[in-house]
Amino acid sequence: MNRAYINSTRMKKDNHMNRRLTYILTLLSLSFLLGSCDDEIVLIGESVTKLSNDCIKRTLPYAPNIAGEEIEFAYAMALPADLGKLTSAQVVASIPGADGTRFDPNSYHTNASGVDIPVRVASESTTSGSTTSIQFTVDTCASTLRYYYVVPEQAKGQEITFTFSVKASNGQTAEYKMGPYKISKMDMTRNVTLSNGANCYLSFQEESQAVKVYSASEVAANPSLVSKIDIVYAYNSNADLTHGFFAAGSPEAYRPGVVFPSGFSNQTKLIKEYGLRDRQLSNLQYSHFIDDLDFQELSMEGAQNYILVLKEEGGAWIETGDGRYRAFVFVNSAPANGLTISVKRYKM
Amino acid sequence: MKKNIYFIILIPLLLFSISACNNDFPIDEDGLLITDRAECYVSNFELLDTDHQTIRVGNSYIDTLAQVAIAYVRFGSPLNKLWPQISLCEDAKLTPKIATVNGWTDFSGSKMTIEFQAGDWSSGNATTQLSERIVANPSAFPTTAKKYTVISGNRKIKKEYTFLIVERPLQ
Repeated sequence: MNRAYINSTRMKKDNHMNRRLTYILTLLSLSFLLGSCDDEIVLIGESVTKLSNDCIKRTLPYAPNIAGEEIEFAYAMALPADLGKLTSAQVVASIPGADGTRFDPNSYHTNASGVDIPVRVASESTTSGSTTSIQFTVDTCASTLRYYYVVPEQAKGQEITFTFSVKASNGQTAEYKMGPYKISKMDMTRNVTLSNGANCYLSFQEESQAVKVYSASEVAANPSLVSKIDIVYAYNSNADLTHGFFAAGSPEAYRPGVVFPSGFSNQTKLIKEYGLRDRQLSNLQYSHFIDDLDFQELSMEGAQNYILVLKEEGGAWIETGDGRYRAFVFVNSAPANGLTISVKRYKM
Repeated sequence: MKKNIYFIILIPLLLFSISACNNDFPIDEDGLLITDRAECYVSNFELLDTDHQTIRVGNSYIDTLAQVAIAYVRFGSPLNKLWPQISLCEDAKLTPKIATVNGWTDFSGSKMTIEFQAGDWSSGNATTQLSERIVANPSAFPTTAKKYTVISGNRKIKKEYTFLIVERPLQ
């Protein structure tokens, strides 16, 4: 009885196994059949038969391009290996770049941890006038080079275009145009330290410098500088005062112990701000940008001639007494007795 | 059984929809409901500087009987460009309105000068003693002080409040 039962279950199991095997075999043969059809490699798009190139702007598109700052591009070029290799690349900017305009001689690839790894492919780039060029030193048929354009002073308020081009050993060339890009009229100065009673006189009238700080001793030695001072910075340990900016005519009651240099008369207008965190002024934190338009459309109505209790990440809109310059001062840090500020300035 | 359940669901639904139709409050010229609430008072008074941060120290003092609201502000706060926020009781509204866009208002006329006495300030905040003394003497209010009128939910009661600002001594 027992044995008979075992036999019958074994037979059932064998049946099962057989059926499963047939299934697997059929499936396998089917999949092989399908696979065999796909044997030919199909090219998506047209095959590349000549030197080709592409370019992207790596600097954020909505960030204002400011004189003295870099605009970064990545220029990619390649040709089929059997046609030859890359020999040289160049960029012609419509306005010659300032010192520091260059090609990075490295090509980069990203490793598994997301880090850019440089591979040297070319000699140092040379810039003469508006042309920056580079010679490839390794046998390569594909490369991406980074190009840094330092915005020159004379480009302010203008538009700029770039023509990238590449030459290959087989004589072929390719060209890629980028732009136009608007160059801001603003000046920017970052991370300037102010200190109570010493580096405390701010001027927004200096040519191509968003803010110039004069020290008390400089002004004492050269009284003609007084006419350039727009704001006096002072620190007071009282909680109601702390870090303050004062223009001529600010109430004496609100600046105890602050003595203006004699002849200080600039009626600078100030509007207090907080939390307007410009990416460029805050050393690449946050994602807001103050652009030319903000200065153009700014209303200075209700402006004061003093500001008290300036805090970190606070700031001030400023208009010089003669109305020729507007500026935004961002407070990077505010320890006792001093401030670190970054400034964007716009000439009206 | 099934029919019963239908009735149980349907009847309250009908009742609800009827009552909903009957609840139609009229709407005033600002598109706000005119309700039957008769309360009419200011519950808070806040002032923001151009940096959208408060200039107030401690709580504002509101006397609903004398219809006066006093904000105590930091020493040295400029008052010519402030964004006021006035909280009201439920369903009430304010006139003149504070704009929702560009609501900057010149409050320098509301600044009250008063001789401080001992006990007026405690750790930088005004005491009730000071608030009560200010309210008790309406003749000392600046004539240029800002005034806003609160209108009750039923739009039948109107109360004009005087808004004062007192600058605290240097802290």
